[in-house]
Amino acid sequence: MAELKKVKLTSSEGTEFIVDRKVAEKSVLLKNMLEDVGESDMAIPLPNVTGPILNKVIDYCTHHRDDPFVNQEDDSKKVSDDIDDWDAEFCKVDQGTLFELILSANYLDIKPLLDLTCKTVANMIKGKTPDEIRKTFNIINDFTPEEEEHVRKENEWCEER
Amino acid sequence: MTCQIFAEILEKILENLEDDKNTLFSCMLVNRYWCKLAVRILWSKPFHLSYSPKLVRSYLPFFPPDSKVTIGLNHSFQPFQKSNPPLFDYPSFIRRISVYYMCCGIRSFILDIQFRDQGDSKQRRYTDAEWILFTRQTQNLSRELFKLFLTRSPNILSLNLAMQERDFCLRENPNKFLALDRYKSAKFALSKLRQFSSGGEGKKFYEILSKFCHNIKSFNIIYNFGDYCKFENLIKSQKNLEHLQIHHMSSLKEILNSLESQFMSLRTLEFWDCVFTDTSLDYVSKCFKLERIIFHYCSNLTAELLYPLSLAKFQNIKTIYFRFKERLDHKDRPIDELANLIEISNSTLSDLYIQGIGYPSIRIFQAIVNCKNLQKLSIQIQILGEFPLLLHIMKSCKKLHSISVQENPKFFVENFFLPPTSSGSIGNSMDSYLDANEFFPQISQILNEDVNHLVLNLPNCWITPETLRLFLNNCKANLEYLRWQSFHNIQLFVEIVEEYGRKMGKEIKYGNWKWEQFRDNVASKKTRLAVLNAYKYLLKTQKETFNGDFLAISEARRKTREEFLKNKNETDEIEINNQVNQALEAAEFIKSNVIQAVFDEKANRFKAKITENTELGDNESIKNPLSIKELKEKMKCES
Repeated sequence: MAELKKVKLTSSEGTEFIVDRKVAEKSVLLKNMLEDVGESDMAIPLPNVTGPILNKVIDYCTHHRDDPFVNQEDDSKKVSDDIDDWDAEFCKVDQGTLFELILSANYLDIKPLLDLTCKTVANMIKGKTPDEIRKTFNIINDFTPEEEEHVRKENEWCEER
Repeated sequence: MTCQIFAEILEKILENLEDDKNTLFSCMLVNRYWCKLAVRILWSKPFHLSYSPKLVRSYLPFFPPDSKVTIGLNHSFQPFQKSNPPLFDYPSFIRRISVYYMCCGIRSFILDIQFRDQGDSKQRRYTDAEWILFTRQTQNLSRELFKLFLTRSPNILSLNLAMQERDFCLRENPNKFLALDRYKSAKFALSKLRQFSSGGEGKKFYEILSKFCHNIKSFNIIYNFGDYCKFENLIKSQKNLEHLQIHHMSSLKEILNSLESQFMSLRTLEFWDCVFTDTSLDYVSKCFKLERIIFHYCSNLTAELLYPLSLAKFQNIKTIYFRFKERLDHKDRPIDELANLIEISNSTLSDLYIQGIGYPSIRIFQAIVNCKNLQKLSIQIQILGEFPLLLHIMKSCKKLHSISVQENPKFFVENFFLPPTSSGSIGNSMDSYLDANEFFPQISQILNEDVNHLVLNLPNCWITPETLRLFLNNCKANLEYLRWQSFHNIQLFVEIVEEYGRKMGKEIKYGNWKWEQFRDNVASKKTRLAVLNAYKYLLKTQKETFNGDFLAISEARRKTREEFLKNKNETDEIEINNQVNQALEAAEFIKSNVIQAVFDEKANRFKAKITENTELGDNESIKNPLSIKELKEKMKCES
C-alpha cells in the first residue's frame, strides 16, 4: 500500500511538510526522486520553494490527487477560458505569488499546475495594449523609436481584419 | 539562469495566446525581450490568423532572386524592397502550414497589387483573362513561398493540403505544386511533422512523404476525389499514428489493412461519409487502445461489416458514434453487433451516439443500461417498447449529464400514420401510440441532478404547455439546455421555460425543431448575441453554398460585413430584430435558392450542385399556366 505512505518535504526556510505520497507524486520531480531513493524517512529538501508557496502547491496537488496523469506530448489544445471554478479561485493571488507558483510548478515539474498558472497570466495579458502590459508587469520599454516603428511596420498585418 | 527560465515560462504563457494576433502584436511591442519571444509564436502560423496583403509583403525580402523572376511580379515588388533589412528571419518561424489559408493570403496580396491604383478595387468585376492570370500568379507565389518555408524552417509540425473542395491550386497534383523532391531541405523540415491533412491526387507526393515523415500522430485524409491516391504506405511508415480521420472514401480496403501496422498506437479512428464495400474491420478490432470510434454518414454499415467490432478487445473506448446513412435490409441490420460493442465497452464508455439506424433496437438499449460511466447519450427511439428501457437507462447511468432522444420521423410515419398492414411488424398498430404527455411526468421523476442538457423529441411528442410546466416543477435536474417538440403557440412554452429559469436563477437555453421557433428565439432579448448569431449563420451558409468559390465567398462576406456595419449604431430593438430576421431570411434564401455550378472535369461540363437544402420546385406554375385573365385578377388581389 505505497499510496498511504507519507512523504516529508522541507521548504527553503526549513519548514517541514508531511504529505501523502500520492499527493507528492503529482510532481514528476518528486516522483522520480522517490522511485530512485526508495523507502526513506529522510525529508526531501526543496531549496527553491518557500513555505507559503509549497503550502499552495500542496493544496493544488491534494485537490487534484485523483486526476488522470496528462501525457506531456498531448497536443490537446485548451482554450484559455475553460478554467474550472476551484482552479480559478486558487489562482486569485497577487502577482508575485502567481509567478512564484509558476516557477515552483516548473521546478517541481507539475504540468497541470504550470499550464493553469501560465493560462492565468495569459488571460491577464489578453486584449491589453503594449503600454498596459508594461504597467501590469513593471517592464521598461527598451526599444528606440526607430526600432519600434520597424517592428510595427513588419507586423502591421496584425492590425487588419 | 533566472532569466533563461523566465524566457521558457514567458514562451509558455504566450503560447496560450497563439490564436490572438492582436495581443501577440501588443506583446511584440512591449520591449526587445518580449518581442523576441512573441515573434516566434505570431509567425508560427500567420496565415491562420490573417489574409492581409501586408503579410505576404513581409515575406518578400526573403525570396531568392530566381524566385522573384518565377513569381513574375518583379516590378510590383520594387517599392517595398528599399526599406531596411528585416528584423527577424520570419520564414524560419513557420510551424503550421495550411495551403488553403496560404493561398487565400496570397490571393488577397495579388488583388491588392493589381488594383491598388484603381481605388475601389473590390467593387470591380474581373474578366476571365484577369482571373486566369491571378490563378497563375497565386500558384506561382504559393509554390515559391512553400519552398521558402521548407528551406528556412527547421521544423514543420503541421501541414494541411486540403483545399475547399475543387479549389484553384491543388486540384490535380500537390507534387506539381509542392515539388518536395526538388528541395534538399524538405526532408529535414518535414521529418518532425506531427499533423498532416491530405488533399489533391498526387501518388508521388504521398510516396515521398512516406519516406520523409515517420512521426505523424494525426492524419486526416480529406477530399480525395476518385480514390486514386494510395495512403497505405504513408500510414505504414509512421511509428506511432494515434489519430486517423478519413473523409469521402469509397475504397477503404487497403487503408483498413494498413492499420495492422498501427494497432499498438491508434487512439481515434473516424470515418466521415465513407462507403464500405468489399472491406473488413478485422484490423480495426485489433487496435486495443482505441478511445474514439466514429462512423459519420457512412454507407453499408452492415452486420457483417461490424461483426469484428463485437469481438474486439478494446480497453479504453470512451466514444462510440454511429450516424447511419441509409436503412438497411432486415438481414443486414447490425443490432446485435452494436449491442455487443457497447457491452464490451461498458466500463469505459462515456459518450454514445447512435442515430439514423431506422429500426427497433431493444438489444442496444439493454446494453446501454450497464454503461455505468456514460455521460452523454444521443439515441433514437423507434418503438414504444424501448421507452421503459430508456427510463431504466436514465435511472441506472448515474453520470449522465447530456441526454438526447430523437424520434425517427420516417419510422413513425410509416408505422403509425399509415393503416396497419397484416404483416404484423413490430409496433405497427395504433395501440402503440402513447401520448408524450404521459412520457414527460415519468421522465421528470427519474432524471438525476447532474443532467443539464436534455433533448426530448419523443415519438409524437407534442406536449401541452401544462405538461412542460409540471415537468419543470418536478424535475430535479439542473437543466441548462432543453429542447422539446410542440406544435403551435411556441411563445407559451418559451414563457414557461423562461419563468422556470428566473425561478432557478439562471438562464436556460432552449430549442425547438421548428424554424419559426429558432427565429423567435434569436430575435429575443439577447439582441447582441442574436445579431452575432445571424451574422455567423449567414457566413456559414454562404460558405456552404459557395463552397470552393473563393471569389463568391469573399464577395458575399464583404457585402455581409458592409450591411451589418451599416447598421452598427442602430439602437431601436424592433429595428434590430427586423434586420436580424432579414439576415436570417437571406441565409435561408441562399441555402434554398442558390445553386452552384461546379465544373466536372470527367464529364467536361458544369454540373449543378444540389444540396439537401436546395428547394426544388416542381415547376407547377409552368405546367399549369394561369391564363392572362387569371393572372390579372391575381395581381389585382395582391396589390
